[in-house]
Amino acid sequence: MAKKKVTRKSAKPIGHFPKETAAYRKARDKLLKAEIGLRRQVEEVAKLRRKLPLGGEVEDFVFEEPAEVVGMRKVRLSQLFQPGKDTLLLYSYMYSPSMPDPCPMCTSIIDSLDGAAPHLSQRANLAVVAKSPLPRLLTFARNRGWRNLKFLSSSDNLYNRFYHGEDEDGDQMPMMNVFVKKDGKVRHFWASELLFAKADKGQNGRHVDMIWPLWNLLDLTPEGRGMNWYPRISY
Amino acid sequence: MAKKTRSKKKVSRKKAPRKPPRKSARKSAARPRPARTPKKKARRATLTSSVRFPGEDTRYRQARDRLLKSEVELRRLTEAVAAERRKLPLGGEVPEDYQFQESDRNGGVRSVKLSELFAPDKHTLVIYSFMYGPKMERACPSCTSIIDALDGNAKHISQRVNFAVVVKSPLPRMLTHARDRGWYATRFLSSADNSYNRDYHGETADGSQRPMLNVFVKRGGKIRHTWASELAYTPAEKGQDPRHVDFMWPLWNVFDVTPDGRGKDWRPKLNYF
Repeated sequence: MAKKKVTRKSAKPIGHFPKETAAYRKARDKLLKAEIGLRRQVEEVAKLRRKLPLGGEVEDFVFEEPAEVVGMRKVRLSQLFQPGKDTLLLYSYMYSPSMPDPCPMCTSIIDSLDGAAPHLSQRANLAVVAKSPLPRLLTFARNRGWRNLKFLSSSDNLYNRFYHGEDEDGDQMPMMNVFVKKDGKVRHFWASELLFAKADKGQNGRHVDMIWPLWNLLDLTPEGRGMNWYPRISY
Repeated sequence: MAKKTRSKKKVSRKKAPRKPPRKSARKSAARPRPARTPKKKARRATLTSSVRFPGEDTRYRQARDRLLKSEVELRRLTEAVAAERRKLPLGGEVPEDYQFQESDRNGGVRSVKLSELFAPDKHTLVIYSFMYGPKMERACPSCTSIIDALDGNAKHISQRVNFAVVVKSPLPRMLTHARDRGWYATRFLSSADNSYNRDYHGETADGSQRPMLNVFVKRGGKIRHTWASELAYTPAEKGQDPRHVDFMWPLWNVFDVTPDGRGKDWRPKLNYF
């Protein structure tokens, strides 16, 4: 540990860990520079994203959402915006009526997103959309122990199809879409299109890593993400 | 993701969309609805321009394609940094086999050594130093929001690596907090009786707790340090936080995909009433 008082403003890296060698420190300092470069690049991309012009106006899709007493009710996309919150995030969860189980990977994403939801919801509207009928979706969510996220069924609308949560064959796709409400109109803002960009060799799309701590954490380990392991519904 | 997506193909192909979009609309370039999805085979072969969203104009598409290129580069840079990280030489051997306290699952407390945190087939140990010192009235709200999300991923993470969260507070105090939050998958350890936090920068010289993530590996029977979120101690960019544990903090990463961004004055709280 460095003797000097370390603060966030300090230009000096943290110093040392027990019994580290000079070779380690040299390599670590070099990596730290790369990590700073990456942090900067993350911000650059976010800045570029914030400058996007607004996308197309959105049809006021009708979803099904849970309701007390009656079980479920219709809700329009425009009604998903709470007063004072003009951003809406919709994650398309791969769980169609013909799939016996939901996508294990989407499930591992929501395992974590559900915990983040109460915080996220302070600033933005957030919901998870699936093609399965609502009762089926809610049964799975309850059994999984999810208790914070808003789940919507798009079984009676074309939301998934239009916003690339479903392809032409009816296969579900794991897409995150962001919408904004401006001057009373709901417009598309951003989608995780990275899914459709060519993945680098030996890699997956990595388009929703932002809500998937699992892989990001494995990136810190010597063995990395690995090539043949994927999360499962249960172990 | 791609692999699984494809494996689901046979299952979900049986059922066509309820209301298949009209073909004329699908083929007309002038009418962007319904959205075009790139053909399966070509999906990963092209960089941009094959995805369209309803009602988007060319100005949006141009800007979005430019952004997509940056997103692809960022993905590449993320991997390049991870690759460099994997090449790090091993760090120092841990100076001692720290003894922590953990729950014995029967409501009691037991001691566990650092070396015992390694499952037989897992040689990597990830430890997050959670800011909750004995003198702190409440647990750190930011750390809490991190674990709120991470706890849900803990059972997946634990399939690959050993994972634990360390706090300086006595164990019962932490377990109470964990119970209040509804965390059930994370392994919590108390470092009340050892100098782990201090040694691995989860605590400053004056006893303040710091949010640090450390990675250790077991090689030839010895436990060595490999990586820590040292970014926490580098000067943050102007108007930014250090962002050293963003990889496990979906909150900020999500705000990064919204028009309002992360904001300057909002911080997660323990509760919102």
